[in-house]
Amino acid sequence: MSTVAILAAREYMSRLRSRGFIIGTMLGIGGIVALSFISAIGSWLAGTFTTSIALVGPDPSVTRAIARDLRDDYAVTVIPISSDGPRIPATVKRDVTRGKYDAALVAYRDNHGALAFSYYPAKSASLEEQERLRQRLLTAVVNADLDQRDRSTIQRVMNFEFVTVNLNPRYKTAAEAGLAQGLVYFLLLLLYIAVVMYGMNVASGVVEEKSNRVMELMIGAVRPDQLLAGKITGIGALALTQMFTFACAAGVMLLLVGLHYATSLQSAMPAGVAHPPSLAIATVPLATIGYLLVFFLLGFFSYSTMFAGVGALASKMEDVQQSNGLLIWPVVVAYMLSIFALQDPDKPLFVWASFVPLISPMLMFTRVATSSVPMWQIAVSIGLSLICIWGFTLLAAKLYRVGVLMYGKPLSPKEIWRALRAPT
Amino acid sequence: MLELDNVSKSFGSVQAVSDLSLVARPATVFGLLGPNGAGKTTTIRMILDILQPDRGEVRWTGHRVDAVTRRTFGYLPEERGLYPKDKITEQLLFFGRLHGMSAADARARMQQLFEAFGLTDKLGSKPVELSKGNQQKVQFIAAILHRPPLLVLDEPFSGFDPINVEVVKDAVRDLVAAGTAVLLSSHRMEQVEELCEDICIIDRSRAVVNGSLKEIKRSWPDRFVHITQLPDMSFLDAFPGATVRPGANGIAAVRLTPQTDPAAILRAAVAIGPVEHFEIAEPSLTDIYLHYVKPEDAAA
Repeated sequence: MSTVAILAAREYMSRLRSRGFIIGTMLGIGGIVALSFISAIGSWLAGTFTTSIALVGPDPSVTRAIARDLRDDYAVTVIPISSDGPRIPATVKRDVTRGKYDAALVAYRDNHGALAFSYYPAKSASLEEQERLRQRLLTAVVNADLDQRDRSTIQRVMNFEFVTVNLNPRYKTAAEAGLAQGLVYFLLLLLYIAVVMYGMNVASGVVEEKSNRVMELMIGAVRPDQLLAGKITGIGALALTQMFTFACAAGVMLLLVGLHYATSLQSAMPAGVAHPPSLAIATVPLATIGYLLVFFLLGFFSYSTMFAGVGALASKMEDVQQSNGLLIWPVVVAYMLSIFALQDPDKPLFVWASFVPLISPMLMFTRVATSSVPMWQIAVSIGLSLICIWGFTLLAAKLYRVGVLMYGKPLSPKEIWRALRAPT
Repeated sequence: MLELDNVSKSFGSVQAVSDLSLVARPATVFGLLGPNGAGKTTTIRMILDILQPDRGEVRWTGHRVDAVTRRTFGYLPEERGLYPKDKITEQLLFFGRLHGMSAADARARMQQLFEAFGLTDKLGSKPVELSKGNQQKVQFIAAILHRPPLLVLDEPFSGFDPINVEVVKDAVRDLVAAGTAVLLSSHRMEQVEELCEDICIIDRSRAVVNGSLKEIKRSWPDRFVHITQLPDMSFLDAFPGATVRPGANGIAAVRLTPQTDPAAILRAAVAIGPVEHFEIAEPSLTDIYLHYVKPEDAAA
C-alpha cells in the first residue's frame, strides 16, 4: 500500500465511524424516505385536480369507449377527427398550446392493429401522472379491444404502446421534464451540501491535525504533498460513500413506489394476468446519474483543494471559519444561478456562467439534466474545471509545505505571497 | 552515522543555522543543546528532510538524506499529539505502516513495546482516556515502533513524572545498546549529561562547542570544587576570578581560574567553619552551557 493510500484509508475509516457521519447519513436517508412520501402525497393531491384532455381516436366507437373509461378522472373532449398514426393533428396541437386543453391524447392503431397511444401534455407530465393515465388506458384497452379478440392475446394487448411527447420544447423528453421538476432540484441540493460540507471537512481536518500536533508526528514520515493527497482522497471517498448510500436509499424508495403501482394495477386486472413491468425506476436517465458523479467530483476537488490550502495556513478553527465564510461565496452564487437556470437553462447568462470553474459543477449539471446541452459545451466546462483543479492542487501543495508546521497568528496576504514565492 | 556537513539555513533575513557540522554515531546519544531560538528545531527539521539546507549536506551512512532514508528515521517532536478519538493501537499501526512496516510486524512490535512500557491494559484505549504520561509513552512508542536506525528526540522528557523519566531513559539505553544512533535535544542538563557521549551547543545559529562530552570536560581550563555552603562565603574574595553558585543539599559549586590551587580554598574554608564536604570536580554540563550561552541569548 502506498503512503497516500495509507493516509487516505485512515482518514476514511476514522471519519466513517465518527458519530457525525453516521448521524448525517441517517438523517439523509430519513430525508429521502420523507421526500418520497411527500411526493406520493403530492401526486395524490394532483390526482384530485381534473386534467382536461382532447381525445383523438381511430374510429368513433373505440374513441367513445376510451372516453367513457377516462371520464371518471379526466375532463375528456372527443375531437371529431380520426387518427391515422401517433401524430397530433395541427388544430388540436394549437388548442393545447393555447391552453384550451391541458393535454391531447391520440389513440391509434399500430402496424399490428393493436391500440397505441401518444400523450401530448401542454407543460409536462410527472412520472406519477403518466403512470396514472397509463393505468386508466389499460382498462380502456381491455374493454375496447378484448371483446374482439380471444383471451390468449391479453398479454399483448396489455403491453400497448404509450408514448409521452412534451409539447414544451424546453425539455428533451417528458421523462426528463418530470425529472427536472423534482429530482434535479433535489440532486442540486445534494451537490451543494456535499461540496460545502466535505470541502470544509478538508479545511477543518487540516487545522485539527495542526492544532493537536499529530501533524508533527506525521511530517517525520511523509511529505506534505502526500498528506494533502491522502486527506483529499480519503474525504472524497467518504463523500462518495455517503452519496452512494443515499442513491441506494432513493433506489429502494423508487422500487417501493413502483411496486405500489404494480400492485394497484394488478388489482384492476382480471385474475390470473401478470402485471406489466413497472416503469418507475427505469425512467431516471442513467446519464443524469453519471453527470451527477462527474460534476460532484469536479466540484469536490475544486473546492477541497482550495479549502486545504486555507486550512494549512490557519492554526485555529476560528481562522478557518473566517476564511470559509469567504470561500463559500462561489458555491452560493453557483447554487443561486442553478436554481434560476432550472427555469430557463439555455439563457446566455447561464450558458456563459456554466463554463466558469467553481460555478460550472453545479450550473452545468443543472443544464445537462434539464436541457440538451451541446457536447462541446460540456467538454469545455469539464476541461476548464480540470485546469482549475490542477492549479489549485499546485497552490495547495505549496501552501501545505510552508503552512503545516507553522503556528501562531494567521498570516497576512503579504506574508502568504512571500511564502508562496520562497523556495522550500 | 549521521553527518551534517557545513549546513546553513536562513528564512528571509533571519539566519537560523550557520555552517553547522556534527557527527552522531551509532550506539551513542548525541546531545543538541542551546537556548530557545538558537536553531535546534531547524537543524532537526533539516536532518529529517522536512526543510532543505541552503548550503551544506545532511548525510546518513555516507548518502544524502532523502525521502526514502528519512522514512526509516524515528522522530519524537517537541510538540506532539495523537488523534484524540481514534484507538491508540490503530494509530500506532498507522504510523508503523507510514514508516513502511507490514501490519503484522507492527502489531507484534506494538505488543512487545506495550509490555515494556507497562501499557498492556491500555491496548483498546483512545488518547482522551489516557493520562498525559501514558499519552507521552504512546507517542514515544510511535517514534520507535519501526526500529529506526536514527532516533531524533526533541524534549522527550517533558510531561513525564520522575518514574516515567526513568522508563524512557531505560528505553533509550536499550535502543543505544541495540545500535541506534540517538540525537537528543533537551534543556534538562542532568539527563543530557547522563545519556550523551557527544554534545553540540548551538547559540545564535552557530555551534559554540562540539565534540565528546568527556573531552570537553577534561580540557576545560577552569577548575571546580564542591564545598559545604558556609554562612559567609566572602573568604572567596581573596581568590581572583572565583565565582560561587549555591547548589542542592547545602553544597556550593565554586569555579576557580586555572591558576588557583584548590587546596588553598580548602584551607581558607576550614579556618571559617566546619567543612563536611569538599570535592574537586569536573565542570558540570550546566557550567559548560552557562559559560557559552549568555543570559541575553536565552531571552531570544
